Amino acid sequence: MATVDGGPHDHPRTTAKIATHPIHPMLIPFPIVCFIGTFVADIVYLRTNNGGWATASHWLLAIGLVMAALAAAAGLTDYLGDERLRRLSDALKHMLANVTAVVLELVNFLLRLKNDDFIASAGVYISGVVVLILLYSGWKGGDLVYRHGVGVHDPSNL
Amino acid sequence: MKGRIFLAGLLLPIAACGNKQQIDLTRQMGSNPVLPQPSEELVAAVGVPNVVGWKNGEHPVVPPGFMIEALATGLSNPRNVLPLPNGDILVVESQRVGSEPVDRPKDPIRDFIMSIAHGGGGSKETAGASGGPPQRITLIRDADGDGKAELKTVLVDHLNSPFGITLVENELYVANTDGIVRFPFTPGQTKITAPPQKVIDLPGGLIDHHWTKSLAASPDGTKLYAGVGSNSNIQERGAEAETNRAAIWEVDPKTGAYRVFASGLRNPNGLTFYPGSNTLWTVVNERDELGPNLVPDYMTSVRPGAFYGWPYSYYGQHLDPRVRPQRPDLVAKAIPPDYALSSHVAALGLAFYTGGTFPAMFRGGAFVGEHGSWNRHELNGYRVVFIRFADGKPVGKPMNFVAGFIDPKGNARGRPVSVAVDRTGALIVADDVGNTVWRVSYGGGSNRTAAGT
Repeated sequence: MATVDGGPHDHPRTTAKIATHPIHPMLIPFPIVCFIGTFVADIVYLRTNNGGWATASHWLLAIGLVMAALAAAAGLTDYLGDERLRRLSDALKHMLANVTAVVLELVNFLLRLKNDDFIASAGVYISGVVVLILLYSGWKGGDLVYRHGVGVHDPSNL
Repeated sequence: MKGRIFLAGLLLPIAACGNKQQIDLTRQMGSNPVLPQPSEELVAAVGVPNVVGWKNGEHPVVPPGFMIEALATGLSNPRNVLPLPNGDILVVESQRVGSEPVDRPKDPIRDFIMSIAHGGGGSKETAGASGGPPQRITLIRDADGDGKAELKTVLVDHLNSPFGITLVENELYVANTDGIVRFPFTPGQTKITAPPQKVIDLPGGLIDHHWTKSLAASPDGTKLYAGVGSNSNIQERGAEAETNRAAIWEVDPKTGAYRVFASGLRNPNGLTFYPGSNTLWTVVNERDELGPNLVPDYMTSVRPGAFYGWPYSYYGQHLDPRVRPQRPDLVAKAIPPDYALSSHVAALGLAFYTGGTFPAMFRGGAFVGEHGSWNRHELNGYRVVFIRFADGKPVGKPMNFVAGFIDPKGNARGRPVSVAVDRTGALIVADDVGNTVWRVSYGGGSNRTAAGT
């Protein structure tokens, strides 16, 4: 499977990188941790009614969204930068799942700006669904690297 | 219009939806205001005028028969005025020190917009003596009564964001943002050298959202009343941050003992006793971000022990949908205030007309200084209104008394704050953005501003 797109030493390349290290994987831990943290903060807020947790969720969502935008920019650069990557259906699924997650979190963020009660009516559910989507898209991202070898260093290219 | 900033619409197009509160503003004035459905805002709707200040010869507009003159200009953020029995006028020049710590991601955005309203134009060029925010009381003397002050001198400096001020016999009480202090003072004196004596600490602290502490003395001088505004819009910073705030304190100046006299008053200012009575009145700034026509600010007599709803409800028992957890036990006790002034006008000053030189309809009526709105796109307030009283109760609609603070292009030449009546029966208005103290007198219909220029 690792050789669908070429020889054993010809992995799909990443375009956004520092030296030979792809940037996208460096950025994605931030939104993942922030969005899981949002779900946790929402649950604690609803159990304790302590507004500090609602405030924490605002910051987690805001930071998560900014970092997700940066990660998306790096990911999209990679996607557009190598035709072999665009031919992988896993790459498309990974991208669509992440875009869905970010759009949901954007709505989640905007609607809680005006009223923390939104966390109880819908926010916490959105936060939970996003965590599930992240499990799926993270798995697909794993496929891209560990099965298709995207961005894996090619000794022959030295 | 170009001078105003409509940030919410630019940032978040979604913010514009849901503004379905179109009502005639006068229906939110008086004892029975119309209250539309709340329209929550994603990011606060902001409409603040640029500050241009007063050019030479410009002045606010007063009704026919009245005259307005600048008693003193070149002040630094004058917020409050206290006419003394000998004719001198004390002016509190004050600003908050530092900025409120950021709590949520939307705070810096709002603060930036607000800083345009208060940081620009006139306020900066006349900073306090130390170069920082002014923290002083200035004495103005117009001994020959020509409407121009011959003497303008600093009575006492290095206070801590003072606002409220009152004289009881030979003691001058000043409400700093973190406590009430007392100075020995005899009217006529032009300098206070004695150190301040602490009467009582008031809630200040790092956040100190509503920092102006209003102050009044009971008619017999035995009690002080201090207005302590809330620490947030609607308790976003938690209930602990609001301990004994959004309340009026009753303080015994001799012992420093206090009790909460009334609560649920989001930001009470302009504390004043109705002349000849023991009834305390206040004007209160109500909550923001529920739409352009919610919630009306109000003027009310203050019943001892009463709860007026903040943060859980407004105008009696109308629940605020944002407050969590709700307190049905407190809401059940909430009483409506007496008289609505219209939404977001930011009423900060209140004075009853006790003079004898204005026409008879003014006797016993109320002047209210409306600093002006920020949380709606069309400006509201930015004027001094007059409300007639009959039998100690407000009647009818407010009438514009001092206007023209906004120029035809929508820029602010000034903004009124506190109002007071001097010993000649003229109305004194502190204008913090215009850095001026105005004096409105009655000329009986034969003067230069009679045409309403």
